[in-house]
Parts: sequence; C-alpha cells; structure tokens
Amino acid sequence: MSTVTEPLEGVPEVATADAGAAPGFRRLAAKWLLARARQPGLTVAWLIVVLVFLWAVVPAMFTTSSPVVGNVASSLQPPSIHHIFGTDDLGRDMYTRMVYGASHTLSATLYAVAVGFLAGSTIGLIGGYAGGIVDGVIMRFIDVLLSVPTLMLCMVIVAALGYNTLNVALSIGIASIASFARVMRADVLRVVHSEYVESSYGLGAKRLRVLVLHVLPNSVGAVLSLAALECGTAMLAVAALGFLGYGDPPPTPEWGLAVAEGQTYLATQPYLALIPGAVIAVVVLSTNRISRAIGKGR
Amino acid sequence: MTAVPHAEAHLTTDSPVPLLTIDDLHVAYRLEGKLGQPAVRGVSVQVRPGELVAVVGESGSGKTTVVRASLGVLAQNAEVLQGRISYGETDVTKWGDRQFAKVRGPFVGFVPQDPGNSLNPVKRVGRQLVEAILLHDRKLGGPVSRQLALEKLRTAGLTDVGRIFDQFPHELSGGMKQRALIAIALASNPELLIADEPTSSLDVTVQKTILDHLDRLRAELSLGVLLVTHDLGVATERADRLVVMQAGRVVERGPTALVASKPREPYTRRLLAAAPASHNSRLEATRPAAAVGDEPAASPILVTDGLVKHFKLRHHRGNSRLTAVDDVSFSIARGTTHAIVGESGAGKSTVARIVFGFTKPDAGTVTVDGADLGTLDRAARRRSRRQVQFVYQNPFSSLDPRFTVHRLIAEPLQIHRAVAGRPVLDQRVSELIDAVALGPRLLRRRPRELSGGQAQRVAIARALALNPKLVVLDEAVSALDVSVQAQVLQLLVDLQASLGLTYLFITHDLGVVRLIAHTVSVMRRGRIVEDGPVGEIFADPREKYTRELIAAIPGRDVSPGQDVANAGVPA
Amino acid sequence: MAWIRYAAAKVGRALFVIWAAYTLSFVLLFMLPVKAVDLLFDPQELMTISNATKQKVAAEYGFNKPAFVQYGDRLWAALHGNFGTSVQSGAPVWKAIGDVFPPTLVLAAAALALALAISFGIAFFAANSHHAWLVNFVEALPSATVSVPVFLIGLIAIQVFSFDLHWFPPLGDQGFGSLVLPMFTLAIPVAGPISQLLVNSFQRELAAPYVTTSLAKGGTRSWVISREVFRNASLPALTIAGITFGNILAGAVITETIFSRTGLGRLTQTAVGTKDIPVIQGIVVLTAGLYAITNLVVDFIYPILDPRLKARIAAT
Repeated sequence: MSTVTEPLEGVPEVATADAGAAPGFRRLAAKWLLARARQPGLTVAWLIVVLVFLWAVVPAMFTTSSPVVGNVASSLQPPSIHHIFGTDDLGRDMYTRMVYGASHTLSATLYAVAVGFLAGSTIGLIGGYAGGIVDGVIMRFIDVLLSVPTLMLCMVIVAALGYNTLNVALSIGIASIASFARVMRADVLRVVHSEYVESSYGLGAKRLRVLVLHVLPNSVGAVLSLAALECGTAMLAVAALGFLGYGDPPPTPEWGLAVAEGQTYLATQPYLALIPGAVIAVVVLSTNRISRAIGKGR
Repeated sequence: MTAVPHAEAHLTTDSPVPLLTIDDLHVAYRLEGKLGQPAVRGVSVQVRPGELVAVVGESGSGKTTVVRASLGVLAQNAEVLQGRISYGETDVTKWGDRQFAKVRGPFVGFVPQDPGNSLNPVKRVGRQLVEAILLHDRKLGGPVSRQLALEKLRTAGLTDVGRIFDQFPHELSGGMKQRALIAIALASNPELLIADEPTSSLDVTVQKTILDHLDRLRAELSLGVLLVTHDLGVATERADRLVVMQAGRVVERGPTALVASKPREPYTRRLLAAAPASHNSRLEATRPAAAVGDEPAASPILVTDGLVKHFKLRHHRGNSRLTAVDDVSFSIARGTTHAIVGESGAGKSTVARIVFGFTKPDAGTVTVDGADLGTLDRAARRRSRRQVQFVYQNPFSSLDPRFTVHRLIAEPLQIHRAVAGRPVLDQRVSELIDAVALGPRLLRRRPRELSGGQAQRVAIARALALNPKLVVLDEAVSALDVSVQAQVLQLLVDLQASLGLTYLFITHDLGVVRLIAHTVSVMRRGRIVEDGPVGEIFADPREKYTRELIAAIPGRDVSPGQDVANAGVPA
Repeated sequence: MAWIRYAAAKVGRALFVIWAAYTLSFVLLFMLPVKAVDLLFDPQELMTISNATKQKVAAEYGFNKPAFVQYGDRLWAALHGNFGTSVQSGAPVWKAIGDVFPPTLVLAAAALALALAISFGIAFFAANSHHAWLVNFVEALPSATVSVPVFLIGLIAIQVFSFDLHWFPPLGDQGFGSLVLPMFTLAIPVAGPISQLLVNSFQRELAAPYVTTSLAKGGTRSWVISREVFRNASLPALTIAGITFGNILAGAVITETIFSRTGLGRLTQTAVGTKDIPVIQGIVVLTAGLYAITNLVVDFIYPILDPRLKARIAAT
C-alpha cells in the first residue's frame, strides 16, 4: 500500500505561480544528472540499451575479429582477457558473435513490434470507433488469435512461410496483434464515451475532426507504452524461436541460436550457453525497466 | 482530567472526561520517500459524551486526515509528526494496529462518506454486520449474533431487516446502504461515533432522515459524535460546537450559535456567506445590464411541449420500460433562468440532454427561438447548435485533457469558422477568458493544471464562444466547493446581465435555485410536480413533495448575523 | 431466460473459437511450400517414385480436389472425431496426441500450482510488509521473471542442480526427481504475469473504501487482507486463466526440449519440423479447445463468485 496517498482533495484554489525564467544549461545538466543518480537502475538500463543498439549499427567499432570464421587452434577456451566471453567449438570469439548477433535480434524485435503495433492498433481503433457488428467481428478475431499460444502460432506460421529470422519476426508480430488491438480498443471505447468527445460533437464538430483531434491523441498513449513493453517480450520470443531452430541457420550469430549451439557443451563448457542467455536476459530486463519508466511517466 | 488541552479548557471545566481528544496534531504524507507539506497542522478537537462536534472544511482542508488519524487507520505513507490523540484518558498516539483493532467497534464506531463503495461488494450485508459483532465477542453463537445483527439494523432505522440481512450491497439503495453502515458502526455499542461526510452523496430528503436518525441515536445512547462535513448548513443545523478548518489548520472554533452568528475569522464569514441557505433572494449582478435587444422580451426563447422519453430495461422477469421523462412542458423567457430541480432519478438530466439535442425524445417538441428542433435537417441543426450550449457537471471530464485552455476555448470558433485569421481568434479567446474572470496566464495550461473552479470557468467560456442565446447548465456547480460555487454562481448572474443570456439550470440543490433562478420546475419520477416563479414556490409550496424538499435544505434556520450578509461574495 | 441467453452466447463463442482455429490452421498449412503428397513418402525414395503412383496416392487422400472441397471433407471428418493419421508414424492423430498428453498435463499442473503459490506469496508479502524497500524489491520480481528467457532458467537449473549439486537428473522423464527442475523452469515465467496482476489488484483493493469500514469495525490489517481483500483481489486473476494456460503450453515446448521430456511440446516441435500436417492441426485445435473451455469455465464460475456480475447478467 506504499502508493496510497491522502484521498484526493483537489487542486488548491490558489493559482500557483508559473516557473521562473528558463534555467541555464548548466542547471539543467545538473538536474538531469541528479535525476539519473536517483534512479541508478534506470540509468544502467539506458546505457545497456544504447550500447546494444550501437553493437547492432556499427559492430566493427567494438571488435576486430570475425563472427563467422574462427581459429580452430583456440577453440573452447573459457572466458579470459583475450576472449572475455570465451570461444566456441570452432574457435570463434563469443563476444564478437554477441556484438554481430545484436543486429539480428534487434532488427527482428523492432520489425515484430512494428507489425503488431501498426496492425493491432489499427484494428483496435476501427473496432472501438465503429462499434456494432464490425466491433463484434474484430473481437472474435482477437479471441481466435489468443486461443493458440503465441509460440505455437509462431511455429506454425514460420513453418508455412519458411525458416528465417524475417519470418520469425513477422510471426511474432502477427501473434502480438491481439494484445495491441485489445488495449487500443479499450482505450478508444473509453475516449469515445467520454464527456469531452460528446461535448465536441455538441459544439458541432464532425466525426473526422473528433477522431483526429480528440480520440487518437487520447487513446494512443496506452498502446505506445505497450509497444515499449512488447520490445522485451518480442526479443524473448525471437530468442526462443532462434533457440528452437526457426531463425536463420548457422553460422548466423543470432543470440537464441547461440544458446542452442552452446547447449551441447553444457556439461563441460557451461559459459557457451549461459553467456548468450545472460546477454538476452540483461537486455530484456533493461528494456522492460525503461518501458516501465515510460509507462509511469505518462 | 489530567491534561486538558489548551484552547477549550476554559469552556469545559465542568464537563465529564472527553471521549476523544486530539491535541495539536500534525500529519504529513511521504511521497516517493520524501515527506511532503503537512496535511494537518496543529489541529485540536475534543468530543464529550452526548455531544456532536462538527469539523467543517472544504476540499484540501485535511479533515479526512483528522478522521483517519483518530481511527488509527492512516494510510501507510502518513506520519504523525507531532501531537497526541487520546481515547478517554488513554493516549493512543503510539498504538499499533492490534491495539487499535480492539477498541474500534466497542469504543469508536465509524460512518464512512461513500456508502456506495464502503461495503464489501461480494459479501452479504448480514455477514458483514455479524463479523463486526463477532470480532469483539467471539463467544456469541450463530443464531444469537444473527438476532443481534437484525436488532442493530432496526436500530439504524431499517425495516424489513430479515430480507436486507441476506442481500448484497448492490441490491440496496444509497440510503439503505448508509443505514447498514450505521448498524455496523453501532455493532459493538460504541461510545463515540466518527462520521466522515456521511450524507454528502445522498439525496437531500434521504440526507435529512439519516441525520435526524443520527441525532436521535446520539440522544438515546448518549453517543459522542464527531461529524466531518463540507456543508456548513448541515454543521450549523446539527452540531453543538463547530471546528472550522482551512488548509490543515483550525481557523475558528466555538459553540455553533456563536460561530454562526458572530464569526471572527474572514474565512468563516466567507463560508457562511457562500452557503446557499444564507440567502433568500436571487444574487445581484455586479456588472451593468446589457441594452435590451430589439426582440420582445416576452417571447420565450425555449418552449418544450409534452416531452416523453422511455428507456428499455431488462429484468430477470422479462422486459420493461422506464419512463424517464413523462409529459414535460415548460418555457423560458428571454434573459431569465429556469431551474429544474429534483432528486436522483427524477429525469432532469434527460430533459437537459433532450433540449440540447443529445437525446431524441419519444414524443413532444423542443422549440428554440421559434424553430422546432425536430423538423430541422442536419445542416440546420448544426447551425442551431450555435444558439444552444451545454455545460457539464465535471469540467475535468468534459474538457479534453490534452488541449490547452486556449485550444479549448478556440475549438467552437474553429469548428464553425466563426472568426477569420489567427489574430482575430486570439483576440476573441482573450475576450472570453477575460469575461469569465480568469487571467491570460492560464491560456497555456491544460485542464489538470487548473483548480475545479478555474476549469469550470473555462468550460463556461467555451460555451459562450459562439454567442449562444441559451446555455444548458447540467449540475454545473454541484461538484465545486461552497465558496467556489458561490463565485461561479455570481459569474453566471453577471454574464447573464451583461450578455442577455438565458439559462436552463439543472440541479438537485434547491438552495442554489434561490440564488440564480427566476422560475423553477420541480421534477419527481419523470414528471413536473410543481412549477412557477421561485419566490412563490419557496413562500407557498402547494405540493407535499416540494414542501419536503424545502424542509430538507440544511441550515435553513440559521440566520446569519448582519456582518455576514455584508461580507459579500468575491467575484 | 437471461441465464440461458448468457450460457448460449458463451458456448457459441467457445465453439466459434475452436472452429476458427481449425480453419486458420488449415489455411496456414495449405500455404506450406511443399506438396502434401510428397510428405507421405520416405524422402530417400521420393525420387524413385513415379508420377503415376503419386497421382494415385494423392487421389486416395483427396489431395487433387480443390482446396475448399478438401477443407469441407476434412472438417466433416473432424466433426466425427477423425483428424486423420500422422504422416510420420501412421498412427491416428488422436492416439499420437493422447500418448504424449498425460506427461505434459502432469508437468503443467505441477508448474501451475507452483506458479500460483509463488504469485500469491509475492502478493501477500507486498500487501503485508511495512518495509518500503522490501516491498519495492518484491514488486520488481514479477517483471524480472518475465524478462528471463525460459531456456536460460532451464539451463541454469541443469547447471546448478544437476551438474554441480547432483540433486536431480538433468534429462528425461523417469520418476518424480526428473519433474522438479522442469516444474520450476516452467513455473517461473508463468508466475510473472499472474503475480504482476495480483500485486496490482491487492493494491487497488486495499485502497477501496470498504477496507476502511472493515478496519473501523475492529479488523486488524492482516484480518482485513485475508478475510476481505484476498477474495476480491484474486478474482481478476481468473480473467487471465486462458492466457496463462497458453503460456504454460508454450513454455512446455521449450522446457520439454531442454530436458528431453516426452510430451505435447516435443510432439509439436517434431511435427512442425517434419511438416506432419494432421498432427499440427490436431494440436492447434486441441490447444484452442482447451483455451475455449478454460474461458467457458471461468465465464460460469465468475458470476457465482461475484454477485455484482450475477445481477448484471440477470439484467441483460
């Protein structure tokens, strides 16, 4: 019950004075640093996400070795100063493979979220705004999408479309349409039945004006923070499907696939599977931490 | 009587030991780890057996915090910084949850402010009451506790107690729920009753019977009662002593008659002046009247004739029809205010929505300025919208939270392309914000950065943007604090005078009607039971229902002293 | 009358979901980039089989008919309980699924029980504790558990409890010992969303006005939590029962793969891998059916637990 405050007693009738003159850059920077220091977890999460993003965009800046060709002489080495994440059975540097794998996992994640977000929120918007039979059909469609577990739905879709990371991303996007559509629809319904929308009609506004100026801006917030949350979920799904062998084939350095490859050596070289797994976990944790902060800020 | 707190010592030397003593209490809330400004600063209150003490304050005064502190149920992020709370002569300030739990019930009972949500929705009423009994007397068997519970329900003024015992809260009316809650408060025969706004969500006639009943219980059981309310009328009518709170402090205290007739503090004077019951005539406009137009003032601007509206209801035994509005006819003369008054479910809001065009009537006509709304085509109806505007009860839900005040007021002008070009628009918006007595500084704010009164002024400014002839005000001042309510009412009267506006004023509060309306219709169960000029209705009500409504206005008997009436209402 | 209408609507909705899942899987699988008939033959011999033979076999299985006729035929058969035979093993689909279903059911039930215990533990702790930092820590747990990949949990569990401590076997499905690690692996991600929902709904209920009434009538905080808040706060968890169920099945696919257990998950994995269309379709319809039935049961239990809903149904 830590968040319970005094029962709402309204804004005091006394008007508060506007904030003073704009503070100088130095004061702003100091304020920002202070805010960062107050939430060290969030700061670390941002640093990790930015780092992984850079891995994906300019991998060559972070490593000089090749993610595909290894040196067989130095295979299966445990983590050391030369190979901080160790080397695999083909003598490839695991750190390099993680750096190059970032672009696979990250782009698949963003692609999946984009598909789910665009399709889902459009469907939800139509359902909530149109109502009636259209809404009924859309609700049943959502129900059907939810009835098959995400992972199984993805497996079937990928099997039908072909085994590669792009299709993995597409399938995850399709599977997440249901949750986007549900959230969007609920919010659109709330806004459509609000008094401020009614009063806008009362002032003489036409449907399109109300939709663009009132309904959309007030209902898009929830799906945006869901999109942030979905980044973590989608990344996990990309990794899981990669782990099961549905993504691009070896020697792709995709993270989930790396865990599956390392699993063979679990008894002797546990780091081979655990390090890629830990990379995934840390990145997903960071994304979720950030998306929670975004959700709270709204 | 070891340590009688200061302040009131001289008044109470011959009284018995107080049941409740709050002495110099300071409470603050911790938000995200930081202790905020204290919500309560140095409050002292005493309640003796058989005495009713009223704590009066507007929202933000900290009165709810005082209640929670004296029950030992402060939120977990609240901290008592200073001060002492005693039950009898026992200091309970440092008591833990278990100690408090033992006396909540047998010593102090609590009547909450929101009967609708204050009973557990998934438990039968009887069980919740039996629990209250068994928590303190485990030895009672099932049949005995049931008998006791039925008796408590009867004590609380309920009949048909056997049926109510087995019902769920959602099957009871608001007044019945509040009585069930009173029965729970009385379950273990407390000596002290703490009532937090016990009737503010109930209809006036129900409010009166509940308060009458509490009064009777106090006399019969010689209970001490701490009544917390925002309604000065209720407080002055019922209390032996008043404690007036503002922004966490006690600003005035004393015997009710003394405080009501000779208030020392300006704030108390303002509150008394703002209470609708302290006026017995219409507010005077403080702005010059508009030049009388060329249209004859006698021709009514709005005529409704035989309005009927049914809603379909489905029950477990087939369908039925609820007649929300039944043959309602009235007319409003140009430049006057017509009030429709009634309790919840009277159909008054449906009438407002029909007049504005949100709801289509099943029968009857609405004629605005000579044009029958029902016969107009879409385009003509859209144009006629400009002549009629609507103001909702809650400005925070009727103003788009993402719009700035400027955009909100500009919206109707843009929709109807009423002004050409940005400079003219800005000019018109600042005229409007000025007309509702708000500063241009507020134009860049969003609704949540405004107070309730400011937001409602913005809603009024928006309604005036297109120079309407008729404004429908649906409970437009009901959600506001009394002192703010008085200011907004004054503003409405002034605007009417300067712009020649006509109002249809929907309200549940007969007290407000006298301040603003020229004519009034009293509605009950969809029908108009009585109508006429406000003065006549108040002086000589013909119908029994109207007499009941007038009798239920709290604080009618309090005649404010001369200095109060002169304090005036700041616009 | 209202109840009959309510029941009919809910049952109709469940049947629709199952039918739609069947149709959806048919359409998806029809898009497979292989000829259905080729899958009937051993890949090694495929080259040596003449087109005439293929035609004959295809005609036997009805593969040469138009898609919608095939759909009609197979839907008709499915309605009579015949989902065809597994291309891989030649066994009837229901038998193939029926054989592997019990071990998955045991694993799922054990994991669900554990997940519920974890979730309620977290929710109660967060509601009861007085230490703000401890509450914050516990409240952060659910979002942490949904962030960790299932396979990582499984691999760490094997590493620590099998290879290092030798407490449980790393692989297989013999005896209770082999159930422990998969159960934990599966329970942790399933507990995430449930505990998130419970923590929120405990918080919301604790702030409700009736809690103040109960405290004021003499209940201690723990009495109020266990006697008043617990039931009301648990009700919303039922609404995600269907989705939870899907989470468990999806988790089972990965868990069974990691621990080399027989079960529905492994069957799905092999069926998709070998494009065993009848089996895939059987599994899809089974999961959709279980989801629909779970929701149906919830739809009927909820009004019994919440009298407000009961009243609302009676009023429609």
